[in-house]
Amino acid sequence: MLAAEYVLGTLTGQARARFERLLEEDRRLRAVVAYWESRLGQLGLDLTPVAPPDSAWQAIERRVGRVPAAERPVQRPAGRAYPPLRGRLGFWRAWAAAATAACLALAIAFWAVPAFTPQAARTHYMSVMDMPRGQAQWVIMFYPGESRLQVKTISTPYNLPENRSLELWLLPPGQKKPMSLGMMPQSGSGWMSMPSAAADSIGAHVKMALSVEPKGGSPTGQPIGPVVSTAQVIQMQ
Amino acid sequence: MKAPTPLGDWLAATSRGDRRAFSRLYKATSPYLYALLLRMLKHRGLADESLQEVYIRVWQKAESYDPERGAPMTWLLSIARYRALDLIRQRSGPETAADGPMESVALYELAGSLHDPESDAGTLESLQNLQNCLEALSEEQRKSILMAYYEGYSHSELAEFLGAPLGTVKSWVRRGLQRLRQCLEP
Repeated sequence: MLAAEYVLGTLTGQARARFERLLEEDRRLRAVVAYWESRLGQLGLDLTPVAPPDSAWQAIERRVGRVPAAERPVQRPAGRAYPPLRGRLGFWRAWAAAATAACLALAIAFWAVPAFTPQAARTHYMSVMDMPRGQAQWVIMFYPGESRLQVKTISTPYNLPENRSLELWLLPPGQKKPMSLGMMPQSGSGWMSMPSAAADSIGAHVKMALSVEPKGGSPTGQPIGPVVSTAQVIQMQ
Repeated sequence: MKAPTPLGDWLAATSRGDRRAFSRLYKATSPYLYALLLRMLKHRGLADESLQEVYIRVWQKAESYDPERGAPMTWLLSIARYRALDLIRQRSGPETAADGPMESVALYELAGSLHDPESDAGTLESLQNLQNCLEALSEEQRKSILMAYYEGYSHSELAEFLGAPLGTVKSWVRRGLQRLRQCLEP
């Protein structure tokens, strides 16, 4: 019945978090959750539909318009085990770790690469997500006023198992729960759209993290997989 | 295996970046998701914002939809519902429930009509079964489950609203779900 209460929403707090971790590992449990989502979902269908405002679709279209569908990960054989940070608490402690020196060094090196067209003389933000061995993987740029991130992979694509995705998270100041910014492309460069609430929260010293989630991202909207990288956002200019 | 419905096709096409399919999917399904978000969040601005977040998520995660796990509509509704639950949990606790809308009992009676966009005979039957099985529960069990679903109430909020001890409410929910399951799968 835990699965039913999870779907209903009466499973809360630590118990819910524990269940989400189990869900990550247990395929049969996911099937039971799917069963209850199907059954209880009928209650959702029972409501009289309400047309949303046109502005909602326009906003959605604007955001997805700039972004191709999430870039497909390079098909690779099952990757080596990633080192997860210690348990659930480890996730939160991981936020405190920031390789600022490494970030700055890479930032300087990065500007030598002409792939991005820097938007000159405009305050913007950058974060460098690097992997445990210190080999930088992604540079993320954000320009205030936009609801998208510019992402560039600058090293070998991360070796991700086929049934996994890398999800990018933002921890806005004063909030306990991270916000999802979407799935990271594993190679190349491109744009990621993000909710405007997240865009409003990006600033210097705000933290970002990458976690390994089930394919397509955490089904719960909160990270349930291990964190493999964290970084602080740095203000440029 | 059932023939794929339009929603399934549109979702698959969306995962390949087909924006036209995505807009068709949105048009067909958003009124249902929006209705659920309005119902749960009770705040138009919040529902509007959440609807956008949900469909951005649908756009990004369409690839992760697995037909074996349920109908497309179920998948979409779940994304919306978990998002609403998340927002509800972030608000203040039981005091909000006490100030909450004066829901008349009638709201926790089930509406008879079905608005499923897929108009699938199988789904019509499912809703009827669910309605019958919910009717078979005790009033407290049914009310607890429906309020948890539509209001996103936690156990303690249910206890506060229904004026019952926490332990009692927990067993209403648990027993209610058990009986529901037994009824649905005899």
